[in-house]
Amino acid sequence: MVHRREKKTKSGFVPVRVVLEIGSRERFRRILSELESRGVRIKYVGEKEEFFGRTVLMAGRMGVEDLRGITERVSRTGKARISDMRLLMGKGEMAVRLSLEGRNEDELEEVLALLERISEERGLLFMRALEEGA
Amino acid sequence: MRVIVLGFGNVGRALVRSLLQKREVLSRRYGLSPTITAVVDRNGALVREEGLPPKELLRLVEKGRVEGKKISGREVVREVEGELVFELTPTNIETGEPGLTHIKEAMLSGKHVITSNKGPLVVAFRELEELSRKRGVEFRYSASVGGAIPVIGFARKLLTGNRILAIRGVLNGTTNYILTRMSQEEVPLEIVLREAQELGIAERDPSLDLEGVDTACKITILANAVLGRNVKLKDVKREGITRITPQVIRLAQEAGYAVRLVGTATERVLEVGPKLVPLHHPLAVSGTLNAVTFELDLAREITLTGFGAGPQETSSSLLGDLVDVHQALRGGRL
Repeated sequence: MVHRREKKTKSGFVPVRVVLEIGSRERFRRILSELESRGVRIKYVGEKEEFFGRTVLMAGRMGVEDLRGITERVSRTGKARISDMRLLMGKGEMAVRLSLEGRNEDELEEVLALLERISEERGLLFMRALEEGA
Repeated sequence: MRVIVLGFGNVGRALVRSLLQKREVLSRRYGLSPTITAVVDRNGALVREEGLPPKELLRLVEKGRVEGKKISGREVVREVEGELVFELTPTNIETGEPGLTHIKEAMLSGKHVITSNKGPLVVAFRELEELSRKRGVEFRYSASVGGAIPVIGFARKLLTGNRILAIRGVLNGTTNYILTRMSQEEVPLEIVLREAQELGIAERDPSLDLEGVDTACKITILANAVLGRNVKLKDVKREGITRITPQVIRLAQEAGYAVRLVGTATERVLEVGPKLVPLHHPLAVSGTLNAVTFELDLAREITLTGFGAGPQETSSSLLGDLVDVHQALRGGRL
């Protein structure tokens, strides 16, 4: 959180500009209403969406149709989008690398858990990247 | 200190060789003069209550097998005089035997124990810790995880101000060698495995390594010994490297990752599986190297890297444990 205080106005208020980094819209709304309930007058709310990224790799016996099904299930969650996909075939097996983008870590984690479940159901190898708390 | 060596395979021989090589240093630096009173392998036991002379031990190491009395390790532990037992017999992760019986017998007869044997630790960790406490004997097992890397001692002695949030490790040199070579040559696992077997890096039956069982054993030991958990091998979620193909390796490399078999232990997670490790990450070690990263509340991250297997490397940890036991006894830290 970053905040900057301006000089007190004639009406006795101190203008403060606050920049918050918040993972969920719901939490953002709660903070706004909490501030208002404490007598803070909110003059302007601006928003800039940032994306979090993850890389996963799946491999095993699957076809293009299976892959389409997987990507559709990811899209249906509305919590992440596949920003990049690369696949390689070899001896009847497919390996696919997915780059995912989401608005916050929690939602992204839900999508990763979904992909892990799908992999388990279909007997696929599922690999996460280590730096991402896997 | 009179010492009994149970198990005279690669590790047992390397230990005896190291004890002979380091005699002068051990004596000068630590005032420690270990005398080997018995060496036992499956063929028999060589026992000399006054201590086996160095020349005879060297001959034994060169010959590679013990030809002596037909008595079991259990009998030797019970009947031969000695203060400390090195339990170095082959690992059995199902029953822990014969190591488990050897260790219990040694503790019951008041002998301190040092082991590199994962079997007894995986099967009966808490029971053995409890028994050593009850009998007032020292029990060390640094060599069971990480070969030459002092993972357990480091965590227990040097991280005392920190809370350990997670332990992640590349703990199996064989799989790491295979994954490294697969990424260098872009060839299937079977071809690299054959190469590893010819070089003596992989066992004739490599399944325990490839299926992640060996790493799972080490994660079980670390979770119990370092995180204070009470877990068994079956509690570890496990995936090996048998499904890793050249395509998987290539896709990982293109995105800046190495594929590594990583074991993870936290308060809630116990798992072994292949992970995408960023190429610049300290766990992206190559060849037969091992690496262990501690995730800590104060120090953030500390990684130890070194040779995780090999008889000489393992003997380094066994000697470290010997000195540690000796110092604990001198300091009365029982």
